[in-house]
Amino acid sequence: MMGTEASGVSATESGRHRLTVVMAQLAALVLAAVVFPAFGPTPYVIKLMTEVLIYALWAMSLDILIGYTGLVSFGHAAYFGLGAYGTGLLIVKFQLSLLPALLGGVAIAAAFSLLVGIIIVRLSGIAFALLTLAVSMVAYTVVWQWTTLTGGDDGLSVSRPPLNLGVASFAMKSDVSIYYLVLLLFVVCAFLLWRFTQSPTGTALAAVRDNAVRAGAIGYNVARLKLTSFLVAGSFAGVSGSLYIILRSFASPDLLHWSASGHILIMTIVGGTGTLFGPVIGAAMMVLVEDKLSAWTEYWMLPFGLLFVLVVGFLPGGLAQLVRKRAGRR
Amino acid sequence: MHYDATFWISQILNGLQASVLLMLITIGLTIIFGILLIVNFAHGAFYMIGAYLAVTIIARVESFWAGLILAPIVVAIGGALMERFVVRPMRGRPVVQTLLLTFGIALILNDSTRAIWGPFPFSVSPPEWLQGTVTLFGFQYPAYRLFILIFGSAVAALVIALLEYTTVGTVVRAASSDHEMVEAMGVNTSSLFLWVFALGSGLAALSGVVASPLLTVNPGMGTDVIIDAFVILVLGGLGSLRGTVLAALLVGQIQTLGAVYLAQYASVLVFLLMGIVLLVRPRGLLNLGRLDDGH
Repeated sequence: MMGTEASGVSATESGRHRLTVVMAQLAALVLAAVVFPAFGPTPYVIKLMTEVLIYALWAMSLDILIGYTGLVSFGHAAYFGLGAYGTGLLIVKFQLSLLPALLGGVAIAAAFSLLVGIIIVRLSGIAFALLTLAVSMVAYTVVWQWTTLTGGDDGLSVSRPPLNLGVASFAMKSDVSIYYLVLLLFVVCAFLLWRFTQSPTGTALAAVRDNAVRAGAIGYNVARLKLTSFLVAGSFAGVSGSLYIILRSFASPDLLHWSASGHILIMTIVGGTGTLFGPVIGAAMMVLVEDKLSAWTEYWMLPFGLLFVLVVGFLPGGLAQLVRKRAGRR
Repeated sequence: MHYDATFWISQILNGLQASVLLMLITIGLTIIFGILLIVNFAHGAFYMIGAYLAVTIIARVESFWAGLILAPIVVAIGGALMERFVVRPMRGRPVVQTLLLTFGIALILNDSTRAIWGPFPFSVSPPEWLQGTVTLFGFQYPAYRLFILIFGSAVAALVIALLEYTTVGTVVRAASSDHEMVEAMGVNTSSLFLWVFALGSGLAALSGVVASPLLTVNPGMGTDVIIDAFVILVLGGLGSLRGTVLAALLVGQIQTLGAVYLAQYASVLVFLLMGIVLLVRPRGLLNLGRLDDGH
């Protein structure tokens, strides 16, 4: 603001330049993800990478709430779990094929987040965190106890349905086919989430995050903005949950438990909130490290707990902040 | 279903005993929120560590009472260290950030406990003279449950008396509402906050020791109990001791009587109640809490 006209122009130009660089880097990442199965990874590695993408999408959806709206949810697992159970039950009870089951599962998660959102948007801060926790524990207990519908403690097993596109039908039996389905949906969802954060609604969320009272005073409909954010976050968590049961062919009530919410919270915050990219780093790191560490120790939450405490205390931008700093220094 | 009067009396007594245990667990959480405005997620971990320490101490000196006295002291020292080096530097940050911070501490403590004591459960036996039953209102009631009822109520009463009816309590409460003013009057508020945090942590450990003969001491006991404690903290109005007592009585009865008629759906009822209170009565059932604008 204090610079001259000329420096303002060059700032925009360098901004545009940086955007191009970021776009190119993202394109390279996506390309790498597309060609990766060609290098002959084992089915186990393929499954692991699919899981990374699913968790990354789930963490990004939570970032909409935490990073962009300033609302900390301790019950984000409920929407993931409802997406998973919704899709699973549509497959088991109604023999739907893959796409309708996926959409149905997402619709269930979205409907629930809309319902919860309508009553929850009045709260913020610690009350919001505790209420999301209470709601998710209600959902958890119902899924756990409604044995006739969900299978209760034994979980819900499904056999993977074919992907029926009308003109062609794919059996989707191989892990690579699921990987590509998840990758496609991940890229689409990531793009949609990014567009959402850049939209007028998305930028207005920043005003709510920084000072909800002031945002209301200058004419924003704060409750409506928070509801939109909650709905978007819940729906995309639903997408990741639906994909999860399609990958694993199994869901258990633990998916909805508050400790699962804590898990995704750690991934999102350690990665770096308010960036969308940070949670992807956080999810990738945690899923991969958990996979490596759990082979020789059960105590892999110990380093993550320490990292989490350090990030909350000293590095509010998370790991993404470190990445950015390095990029900025170049 | 038809039950006779003896059944109901014993159910209500069980509910009361569950209530007292819940009250003892939550009271530490309540004073920490009430004075420091912190929701301590690590409270459940302190409860668990209290029980584990008691297992070790009882194995060494073969006295339940040694465990009951020493374990809370050790945990209180740990709590004081946590206040000094983790919580105090975060003062002034939004409450929800300290919730996240203490959540991280809880994870660290949970895994450390599992690393030290292993994944297998331990059992603790109460002292011999509390192992049998006593005749109460004409029927047999386990002596240890009666002990919990009496001991828990006494400790809770003592804490409430300390904070509400003594000069020390007055100073502590004054410090929590305006610590700069109390500081200006010559009181070291930082050390007051440290003592309060230590007391709260010690109470968590004490309830862990008291509960240990009723259940197995296992690595998951902290994660289960912290949610119950949060429910009671909210229902009672965050920071209100009287509210906590009332809410614990309510939740203990709902959980015990509800288990007869509603099975596990009793906990749905409890969580729904928590949600409704947060929405329509954020200062708790008695309207005494310190949470008014959600920050």
